[in-house]
Amino acid sequence: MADYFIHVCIAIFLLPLAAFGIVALFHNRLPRHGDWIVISFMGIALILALVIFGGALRAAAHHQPLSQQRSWEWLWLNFPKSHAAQTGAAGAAAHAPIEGVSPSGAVRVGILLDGLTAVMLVVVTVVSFLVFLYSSAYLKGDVRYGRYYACLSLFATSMLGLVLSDNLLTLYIFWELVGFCSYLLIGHWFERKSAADAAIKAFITTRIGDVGMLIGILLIYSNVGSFRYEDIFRYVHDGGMSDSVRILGLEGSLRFWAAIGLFFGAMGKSAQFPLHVWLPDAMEGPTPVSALIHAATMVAAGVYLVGRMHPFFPPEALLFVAYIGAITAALSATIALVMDDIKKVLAYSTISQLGYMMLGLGVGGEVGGVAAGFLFGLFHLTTHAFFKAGLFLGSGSVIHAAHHEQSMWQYGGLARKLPVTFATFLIFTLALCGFPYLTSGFFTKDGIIGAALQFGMQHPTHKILGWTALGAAGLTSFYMFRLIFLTFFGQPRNEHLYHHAHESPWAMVLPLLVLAVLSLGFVGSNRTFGLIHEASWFSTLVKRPTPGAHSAETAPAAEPVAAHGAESAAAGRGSEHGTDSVHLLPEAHHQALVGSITVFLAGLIGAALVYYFQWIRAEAIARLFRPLYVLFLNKWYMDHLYRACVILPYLALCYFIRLVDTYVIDAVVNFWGWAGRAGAWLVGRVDWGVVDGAVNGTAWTTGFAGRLLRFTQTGLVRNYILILVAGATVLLLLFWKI
Amino acid sequence: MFPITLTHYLVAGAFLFAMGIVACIARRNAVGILIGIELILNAANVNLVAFARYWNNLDGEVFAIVVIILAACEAAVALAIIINLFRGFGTVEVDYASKLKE
Repeated sequence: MADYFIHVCIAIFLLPLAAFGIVALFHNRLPRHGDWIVISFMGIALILALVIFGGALRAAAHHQPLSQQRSWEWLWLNFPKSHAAQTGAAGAAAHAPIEGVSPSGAVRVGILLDGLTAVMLVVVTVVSFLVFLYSSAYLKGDVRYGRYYACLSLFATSMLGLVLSDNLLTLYIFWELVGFCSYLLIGHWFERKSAADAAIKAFITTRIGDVGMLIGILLIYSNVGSFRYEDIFRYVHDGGMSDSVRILGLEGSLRFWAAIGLFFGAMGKSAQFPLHVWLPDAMEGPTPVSALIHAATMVAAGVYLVGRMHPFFPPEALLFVAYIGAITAALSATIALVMDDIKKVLAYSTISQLGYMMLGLGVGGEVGGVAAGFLFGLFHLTTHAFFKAGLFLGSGSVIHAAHHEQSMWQYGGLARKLPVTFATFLIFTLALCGFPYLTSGFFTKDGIIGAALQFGMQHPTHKILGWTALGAAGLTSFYMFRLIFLTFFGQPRNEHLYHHAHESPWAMVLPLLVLAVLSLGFVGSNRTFGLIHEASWFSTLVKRPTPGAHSAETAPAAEPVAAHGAESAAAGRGSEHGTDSVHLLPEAHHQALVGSITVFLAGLIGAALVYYFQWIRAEAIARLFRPLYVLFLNKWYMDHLYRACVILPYLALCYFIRLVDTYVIDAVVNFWGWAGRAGAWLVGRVDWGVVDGAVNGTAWTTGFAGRLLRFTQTGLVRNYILILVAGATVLLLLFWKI
Repeated sequence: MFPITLTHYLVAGAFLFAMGIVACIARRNAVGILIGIELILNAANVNLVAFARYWNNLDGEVFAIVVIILAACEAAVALAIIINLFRGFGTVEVDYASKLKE
């Protein structure tokens, strides 16, 4: 049984890899550029992922959470095993050697299959499969159709590898691979300069975050001596990495700084403030790519990382995560209010929702946090993946119908032309805005807001987190209904475009329908799969790994499950804080419920007043709050800020270096070149005059003598004899002794 | 009647030698040149035999016999060359056989 699931995982990972190999090499010879290979392989992977998911649910129902691991020795590094152990730092020196760290220094990598992995596998394969199917219609006849599918397949491989990894090393490798695929796919239409620029921007911005992540990983490895999650968790659980380090005048434990480093990577990948600027630009890629990579899966990798490494994050680092998340959620929601491009609105909405997830994870700390926050942060990642992928695919359908016009001011009244798209889009929007009880987004977002509010109750200084989340939820409702009203309602603002609009083919409509079903309330409800006592199916599957409770988890759960859903893991830790339950405190839950329904309605009514009934003119509001409007329209001047603070200094530095290059290095090089030429000229003169002169002179002399002597060469024997006789006579006379 | 001394032989030899040289230089006919060479050789023979008689031993006469044999060989070789010359040029005029120069 144990091996069976691991083998299925390997199959899931290898299927898209094989599809990538085939399509990348042979797409020119395959019919339809081999898209059917990619789609069908992904379909098989999807079925396998569902098998694992079912197995995980069954295991969780028997209170034996799925947790399987298989690892292999991979690299042999002869680094000093543990820096802390060598220096004899407090707390770390006494530790016994960590299991799994072999004495040879080999790095073990492998597969970790637990509830979170199972959920992520389903999310990635479902969205990938639907997007692959959708792309076959959306990109029909594209110039680089085969390359597109090869990239998609590679992306799916990398993403699956990322969620299957049981260690930070392979996670980092796949992390970079998804970033690389994202780069390729954003720049799919690289003939457009904007697309090429956006691809570079996305790549570089995320890479900046990844530097932090690499530092974090290396910090961890140099201390723990292993990349594997469980080793790391056990190490810090036993008090490792607690040395105090001062960086930039801030005092923090080594663990804190490593966690911040990891979070930097997550900030880049999940487009958190201030590294969020790449995601809106990434909308230059094909819309299905935006749905798959820049809404559902890759950008969620940062959230996944923080969730996966959650036990590693100390409370201070989690607070940082929470604040970044809250800022991101609010800031990008305000920008989404004023965007005209339908995809840009959705992009900022994605950033905002990712902020929510980070906020949830941030307040979900083990010590003094709200356990539900952790849970709902990851749960929101799941539900968001479905409805946000749906929103993007729906917008793709609209864009497809509108002949690639993306400005919402050119739409209007499209509900009549695109009925299926409209219906599904409405469901996705309601899920995103949190329509009570009927949509999945309600449960998860409500949970995050509730967790943030409860965190504020426990720590009054951080009350602002919950209120920010609530306010951003209202903004979400407003901008999403603005999008709906502008796109689907009212009179057509562009008659020509309206006239030619048509519903999309089945390959695009079917994914929308499937995703719409997956966005309905049952996904987030606690009644799904016959669960009444647990908060949801998700909370039965996903538990925060707790090194201390390791044995409690694997042992058959002896303690009866309390009516209020105290899990076995929570029981193992004790509940002195009273917040370890996946349930929120009643007052926080109540506040969140009332608050989020209120802001949802407020946003809906506000948007309706302005954009449907048009009782209030949007221009009037814009004029009234002109400074704010300009601020939002310019995206809080973040791009300007980067331009002024990073890009321009960088360019200035480059310019300066170029000057140095031109006037110093080139001058030296040129001088030596000139000197060499002058020396060569001199030597050349000598060569010509002296050496050549001597050689030529010899040759000329010989030639001249020959020319003279050839007159004696008559060819007449008689002459020769005459000369001979004459010579003999002369000799005779000379030597005649008288 | 005056006695014939060594000097007479030497003068006769010198005369023969000069005749031979002149024949070699002045004649164009290859056969003539061959005859001139024979004259030169025989002039030497005269000298050798004269000195042998003068010193009253046989060394010079042995040399003279060797020269005669040499002359016979030389005549055979030279006549062969002359025949080939005639075949090649259609004449025995040595002036025509100056191919190396032309």
